[in-house]
Formats: sequence, structure tokens, C-alpha cells
Amino acid sequence: MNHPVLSLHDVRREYRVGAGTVAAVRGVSLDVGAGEWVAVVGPSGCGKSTLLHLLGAVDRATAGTVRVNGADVGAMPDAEATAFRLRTVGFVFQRFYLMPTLTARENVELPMAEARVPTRERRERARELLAYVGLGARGDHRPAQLSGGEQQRVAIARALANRPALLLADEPTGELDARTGAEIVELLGRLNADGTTIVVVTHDDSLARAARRVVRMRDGVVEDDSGARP
Amino acid sequence: MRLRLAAASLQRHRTRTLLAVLGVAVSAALLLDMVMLAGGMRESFRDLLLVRGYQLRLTPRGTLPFDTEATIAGAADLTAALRARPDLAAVSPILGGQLHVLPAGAPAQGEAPPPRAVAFALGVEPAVQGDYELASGADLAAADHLVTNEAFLRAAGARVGDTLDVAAGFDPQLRSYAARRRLVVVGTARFFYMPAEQPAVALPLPVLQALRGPEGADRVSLLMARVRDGADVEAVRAAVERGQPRVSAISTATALAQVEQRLSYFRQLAFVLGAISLAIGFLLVTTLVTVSVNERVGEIAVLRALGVSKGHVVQQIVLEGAALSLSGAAIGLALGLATARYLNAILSDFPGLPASFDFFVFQPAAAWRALGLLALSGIAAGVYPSWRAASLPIAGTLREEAVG
Repeated sequence: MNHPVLSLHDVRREYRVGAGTVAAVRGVSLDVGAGEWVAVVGPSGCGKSTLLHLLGAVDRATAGTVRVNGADVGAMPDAEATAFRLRTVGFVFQRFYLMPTLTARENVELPMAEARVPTRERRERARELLAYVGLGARGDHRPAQLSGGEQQRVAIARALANRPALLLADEPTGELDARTGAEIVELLGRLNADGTTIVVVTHDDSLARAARRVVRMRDGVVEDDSGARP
Repeated sequence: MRLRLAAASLQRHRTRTLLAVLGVAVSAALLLDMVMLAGGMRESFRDLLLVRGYQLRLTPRGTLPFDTEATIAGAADLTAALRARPDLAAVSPILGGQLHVLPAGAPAQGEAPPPRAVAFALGVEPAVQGDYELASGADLAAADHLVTNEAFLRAAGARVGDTLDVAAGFDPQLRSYAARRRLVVVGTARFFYMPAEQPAVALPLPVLQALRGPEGADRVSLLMARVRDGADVEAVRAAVERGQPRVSAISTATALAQVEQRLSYFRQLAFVLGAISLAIGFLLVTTLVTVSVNERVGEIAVLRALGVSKGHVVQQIVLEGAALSLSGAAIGLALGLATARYLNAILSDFPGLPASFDFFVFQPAAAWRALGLLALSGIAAGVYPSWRAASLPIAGTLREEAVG
């Protein structure tokens, strides 16, 4: 394995539910190297999405450490975690979550604008990214004018805007039909081949098969890891 | 991009945005009108008093200008004494009284015929008069000249250039006049202190004094005085009153204070209504922003997940509130001015009010302050709901959105 882009050590995440607690993640340890493509699979409620949220610093572990590029994500104050999400990770959601009032190009530009990338530079990069995901001619379309697959492509372009070290995708094919889903799988494969580290949470067998490494979870723990060292 | 997002968000629900802007505009218009009303009458009265720069009014002791028919005797000596004072730059003596316009061919002797018209007459010294401004024709330049307002011409059926048979000092018991005279209408004027519908004329002071007979001889109803630059008006007023025990000296400030006291009900009413309209504007924007934010918690969570800072999320939503408030305030400014003009026209028709008196006066500083306050309250209205939404746990919100 290359030097780990992310490293989880005995990570736990518990939620308070009424008077008690529910453990969504229970002592997960995992290393992901640069350039890897990891698929996290498992039944609903096994803690996959929670794990992804912990990696992306949108949630905090109850115990254990999450390091991304050497930085302890769990110890970051809110402003630092925000900057980390902006520059180090890219998020792709199951429901795309594009800003409905912005065009495809503006959606891709959004994280760059937040990162204060100069206007001309971000326009150019947004154009390149949309071309990369096969939507060079759809930059001025709003999400409502795009198909589900096209919206997910825009979401992937948006996730890549600030050249993140890590791409996190939560069920990226979950809302798509099989053919469109396959296109997204192909796009992720191309991204990974171009050097992007990807962690994807999925129920989709074809997506899991396309990943180079599969981590299987059950009841908040890693049940099987195809990339684990003996 | 924040501006773009804010604008796009407002455009997403155009009807709602438009209604909110109109609501804020109505609130802003009411606020502006109340501000204009609160200070308007005072300012209008002040402008009226200072229209010709006379800061002092000298009346018969214990009276207000033209409050009674009392006059000041020894007017010539009093005027000369006042003009000799180094702290006074100008003194304008005025005698008031009724002037009757007699029908053409009325007999010179015997019982007086019923008048064609009755006007309030001001005997003035044209060079220093402060009661009217010429609208057309010529000013008083000879003893037989008469300047009138339009209401007089209508009442008397006269025109500029006509010679009129006029009389004053009517004795109802003898049904006769103290004196009659033929005067030529040489011009029309706008009388500052007269209601527009009141027929009014101005003629040379000695002529009116003569027309009023013994009760007008060497008498004036009022003297107006302009204080020399640099002199303290109140100190001059006190000195004049000490030196001339027969008169009361009223300064503009004193008159304004009295008016302010009488208008305090108006100001309180205006203040309360203004505060209510401000609160309504604030609540309108708060409601709209809160509803809008609640609809978009998922969107806000996504922005936060993408790395948009809490502060920038707040800024974007506050911008939406600011845009609503500023647009509403801008429309409210136009609406408020139009409403004030309309209401002013209605109120100005109250009988007995000077034609140039306004109830609603636009004072830029006060108007900007009021509208600025409304805009600020609109901006503040967005802060709490946006901060609350930006502070929601991202993962939890995303999960709920995914389930929802």
C-alpha cells in the first residue's frame, strides 16, 4: 500500500436515542492508500454512511481517531473542519444535491468560489471538469433540465473542483437506472485510473465489483476487507 | 457567488418574494409617512415663520399675532425706535383689517350698500413686507395700488388692472364706512399666512390706516423684526420686550415650542404607528427568511458538507433578507411620498390653514434614518434563522433529508 491517505483507528460513533445510546460504528480500523478505490458494502444500517461522514468530517467520532493526509479530523474545530472539507475531500451524494437555482457550471464553480479561486480560473476549470464528465455542452443547464445521470456527473465534477485528495461517494448510483449507473461506475473508474483516491459506500454490486478493494461491514464493524494485509 | 445564490433563492419563489417586498414596501411607506408627519408640521410651521427671515413677532402685550383685534398705538414711533436698534436688521409693521369692495356706482354718501366682496387686508410697507410673494403683475408702488390673491379676484369678479371702490372701518350701527377709496389691482400674490380660499389683499400701510379711520390711525397689529447676523435672537427678544413694555415679543423658537406642545399628540401617534410599521417590516422579513431557511435545511447542510463556512451561509441568507428589505424600502419610499402627497392635499383643505402649510414634509436625514432602520431590521431578521440553520449537525440533517 502507498502511504495512507486516510487512517482510522478503533473508531466508534454512538448516538443518543432517548435515554440510551445506539452504536452505529463500533471500533473500525482501516487504512486507505493514495490512489485506492475502496467500496464499503453491507446491509442497511450497518454504519457505512456514518463511516463516510466521519471520513468527510461532517460528523465526529465518539472515540478513536480519523486521520486524513495525516490530519486528525476529529480534533479539528468547526472552521478548520470546514476548510478541510472544502480543500481535502470531495462529496458525492446519492441524491446529487445540486443547487437547483444554479446552472451546472455554477454548481461546479461553487466550491472554487468558496475557496476564493479567481473567477477566470474557476470558469476554466469548471468547463474542463464538465467536459471530463461528458457534459461540456450542458454547462448552462439547470439541474431540473438534466437527467439523473447527468446530475450525478455534475455532482462528481463539483466534488473534484478543488482537486481533493479523497473523493467520498455515498450510494452514487442509488438513484439511477442500471445503464446510467454503469456510466457513473465507468466515470469513477476513469477518475481512479487518473489518480483520485475514492471511497464509495454502495449497495450496488456492479459498483462494488469495479472497486479495487471491498470493505464489508455488518453491525458497525468491518466484517471483511479484501485489501487487508494478512 | 453568495450574491448569486441569494438572488437565485429569491427568484425561486417569485410570488412569495414579490408579496414580501410589497409587504415591506407598505410598512416602509407607513413608517416614512409617520416620520414625515411627526416632524412635518413643525418644520412646515418653522419654514412659514422664517419664510422672509423675520425671527421676531411683536404683538400687543399678551396676545398672539392676529389672535385678537387689538392693535398697537404709536406705531410710527415704535417702528422708528425699533429700527434704531443696532441688533435689528429690518422691521416690518403690519396692520390687519377687513376691506369691503363696493359695487360699481355705489353712492358716496348715505347708507353703505352691501359689499361685492369682503377681504382680509394687510397694510404693509412693500420694501420690508414679509407676508406675501408676488405671483403676477406688479408690487405696491403707489398709494392707490392693491395686490390681491386669486381668491379675492374670484370673489370680487375682478382682474389685474381693474379699479375697485373699496372701504374699511364699517360701523354696523350707522351702516357706514370710516373711509372709501379707489384702488387699482396691480398684481396677484401668494399670501404666506392666509388660507388659499380666504380673499386677501395687501395695500400700503398708511392707506389702510387711513381707511380704518380713528381706530387705525398710527396703529399696527403686528411688527416683524429680523435680527442682525451674529446677534442672539433670544437676547434681542428679551431686550425688545424690556424696552417696549406695550408689546409681547415672540421668537420663532418660542412659537415653535408652543406649536410643538400642541402637536405632541400627533407626534406620539406618529411615533407609535411608525414603531408598529417597523415591527411589521421586521416580522415580515423574519417570517419569510425563516420559512425559506426551513425549506432549505438540506441544501444548507450540503453547502456545509461541501466546505462552505457557517459565516458564508449566514451571509447568503442575510443577503436575501437585506435584498427584501432594501427593495421594499426603495418601493416604500416612492409609495410613502405618493401617499404623503395625497394625504397632504386632503389635510391642507382644512379650512383656516395657511396655503403653504404642509402636514407631511420630506426631511431627507429623518427619512434615510427611518428607512435605514427598516433595512437594518430586515438584515437583522435573517441573522438568527440563518445561524440556526448553518449550525445544524450536517450528518444528521443529510440523513434526515435522505430519508425524507
